Amino acid sequence: MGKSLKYVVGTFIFILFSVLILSDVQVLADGETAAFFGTEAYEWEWGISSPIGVYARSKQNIDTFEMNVVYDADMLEYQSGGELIEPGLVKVSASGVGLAEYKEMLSFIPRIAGNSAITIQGLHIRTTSGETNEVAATSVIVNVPIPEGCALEDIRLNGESIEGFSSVQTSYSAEVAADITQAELIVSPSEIQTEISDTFLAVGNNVITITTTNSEGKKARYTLNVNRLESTEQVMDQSEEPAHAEPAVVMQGSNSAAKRNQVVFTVVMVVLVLLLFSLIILKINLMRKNKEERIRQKRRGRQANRRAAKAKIRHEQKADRAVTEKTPKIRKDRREVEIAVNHITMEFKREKDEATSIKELFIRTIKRQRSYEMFTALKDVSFRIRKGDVVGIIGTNGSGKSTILKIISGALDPTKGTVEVDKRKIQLLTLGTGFDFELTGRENVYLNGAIIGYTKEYIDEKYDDIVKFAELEGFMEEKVRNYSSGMVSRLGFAIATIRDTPEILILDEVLSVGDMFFRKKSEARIKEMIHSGSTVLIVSHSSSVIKNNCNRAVWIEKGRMRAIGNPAKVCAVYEKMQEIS
Amino acid sequence: MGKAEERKQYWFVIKELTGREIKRKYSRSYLGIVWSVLNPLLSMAIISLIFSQIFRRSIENFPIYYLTGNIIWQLFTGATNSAMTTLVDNKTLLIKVKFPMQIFILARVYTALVNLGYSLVAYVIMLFVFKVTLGWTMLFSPVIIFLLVLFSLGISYILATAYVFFGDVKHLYSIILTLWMYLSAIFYPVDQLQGFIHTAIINNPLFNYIDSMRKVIMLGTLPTVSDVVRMTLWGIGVYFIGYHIFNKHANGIMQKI
Repeated sequence: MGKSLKYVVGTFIFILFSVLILSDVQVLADGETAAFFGTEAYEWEWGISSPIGVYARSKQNIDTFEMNVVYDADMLEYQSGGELIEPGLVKVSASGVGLAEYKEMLSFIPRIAGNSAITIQGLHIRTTSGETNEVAATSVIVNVPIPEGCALEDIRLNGESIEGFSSVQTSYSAEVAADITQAELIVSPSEIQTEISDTFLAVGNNVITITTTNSEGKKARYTLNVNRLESTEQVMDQSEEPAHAEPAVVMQGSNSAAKRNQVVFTVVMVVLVLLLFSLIILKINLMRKNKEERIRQKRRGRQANRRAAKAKIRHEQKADRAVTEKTPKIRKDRREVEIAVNHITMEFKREKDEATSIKELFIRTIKRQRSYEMFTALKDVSFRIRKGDVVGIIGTNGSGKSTILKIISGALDPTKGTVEVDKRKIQLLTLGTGFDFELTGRENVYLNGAIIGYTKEYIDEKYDDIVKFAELEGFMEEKVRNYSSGMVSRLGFAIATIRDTPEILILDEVLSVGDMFFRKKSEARIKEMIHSGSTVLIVSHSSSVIKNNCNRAVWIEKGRMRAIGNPAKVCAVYEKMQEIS
Repeated sequence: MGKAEERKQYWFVIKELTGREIKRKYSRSYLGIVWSVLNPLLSMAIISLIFSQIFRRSIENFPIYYLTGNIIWQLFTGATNSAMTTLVDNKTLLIKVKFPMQIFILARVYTALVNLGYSLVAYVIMLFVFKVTLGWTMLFSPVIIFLLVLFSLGISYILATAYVFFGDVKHLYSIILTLWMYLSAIFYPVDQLQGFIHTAIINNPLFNYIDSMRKVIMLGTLPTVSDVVRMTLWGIGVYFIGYHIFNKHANGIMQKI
């Protein structure tokens, strides 16, 4: 369960990351080229000419650009700065700018006080490198305080006061029931001169303006956004809506829609980031939990191991006795020859003072200084190993033991001589090699098993046996890096010997390592193999290992075979030689 | 063991070795395998952000131009660089094994291919970000990748053999790779160059693969017949040369190791 959950969480984190990156990239891509105003909001005075700065900016230098500035022609009177196309629309354009940012000051005179919007639409920028960009519309709110004598004290919509009404605020929103088709507005003070726009209410949003005029002729405008609720019976009549909306209001609507989009976007981003973080935390927690679980299992495993080990020692001691007693007398001639090593000579072409770099090699080749030295690792070695033999190969370090193993297992071709052996039967066991310490025990079982020739199905089947034999229950999800050397040897031994009958088993310095328990156990297992007819080849430089396990011994020294025969005798000669030197 | 079983076993070994390489790479991190997609994705995002500011004038859709070249380049260098050292890295295993040593090289190249798979996830996301239109010519890209893998395998065989005998092949190769990279037009347009350099790039087999990939992905056109012929010849030719060299020296490699 833990594993699949981990994957699910991992996938989620990945998807989230990609979504975040995607949206980020898009924001950055759009954000650079822009149209904007000098400030975020304007406060103007009624009847006084007021400036507003409109800007166009691009990532690269602007060559030409053009933009339309849309304003409410009722409320504002255009004065200067651009080119008046029609009331409510001013065009600003320039060519040959050569700068990354362009600014134009426009000025307007407010004719009606209240809130209105100025919008930059259709900004086209052509950069000096010939790229053209089109930029989305942006709006700014202009607020003109209500002059004296224009302020209303109260507005009643269908008999009810507007919520939160104050005489300085000029825009409000209200909601009416679905069955109300006409807004009835009563404003006070009633002596003030007011002009009210169409009060018919369509379903959805309706804008009603109340324009007041004082004795000096100054005007102010209150805006009411009335939302008529949708009824279930009534069919929405969409077509009526735009008819009632004035241009300025449409702009405001789109402005607020853009703002709403921005808010939604921000919220979505925040939620995604939070989700991402919570998932990461969840994942980390999961891992910690797994670790704790493993530690607990380890503790349990250790206790169980101790108990099991005690029991096993008792059992094995009995078994040992039994095996030694039952081993039959060796009758060589009847058994078939499993490995025949015929007059093997192995020569390495070794350069004197070997060139380890290409430069050196190159220089020497030119100077004809490449002198070879034939190094003879093995000279005319031949012996026969019969089925069921346990043969020890003994010799000091560098005497050619490993070379002969490589030749027998087929990794090396000899210079002279032949080896007759069915290479498929050979199982070479060297401990601890081939383990990847960064992987877990389980992963190493599969990796190592694959390398020594087990199929996946076979490992699946034998996995539990391997773990049990290695006494590593509860450790298999742990990285091998954290194993003790004894544990590594046990696992290696278990993987290599789990195969039913490896017909030829070659043990390279295996029996001299490992702890006491393991040595007992591995010796028992090897004896078991001997009993089942396996041919075993043990390589060691320790004579005691050979004496205890083998029925024949071969002593190789400096590439030559010095003695073959009874282990006790061979070892005695070997030891004598060692004492002399 | 029959031939088919043997193949199956080799394939299992390759998968296990590959799994080991990939698990190893992120074995000490919390996010583990997620990094193998996250890593290319993040680096691609950064590269696109940086490069979309620098070279955008001269090349259309520069980030994709760069990334296309880069994933091909990464596949090649990832495969050859890791396969070069594989025999020495797995010294202890080599004695134990009962299968041809080529398996180790195949496993490293396959690892690079799997890594390419992860990068492709990120790459496809980038294709969407930069609004590259999908076309049926993209179906040709596996062929290009297959031929490139053959080419990389051939080079890997040669390098792995050489590295066993001379450790400095590794350093030499890294220098050659630097030169090779600049001659592969990964981040600049070829048309800007003239003369000898231009000829060198045009005849560079890796540029051949990169260019064909760009044609298939970005331009929506198939590579020309001469492109395909050259890619095939390079791929198969180098593969066989490498294989031959490796086999000839197999015994020497064992002795040396």
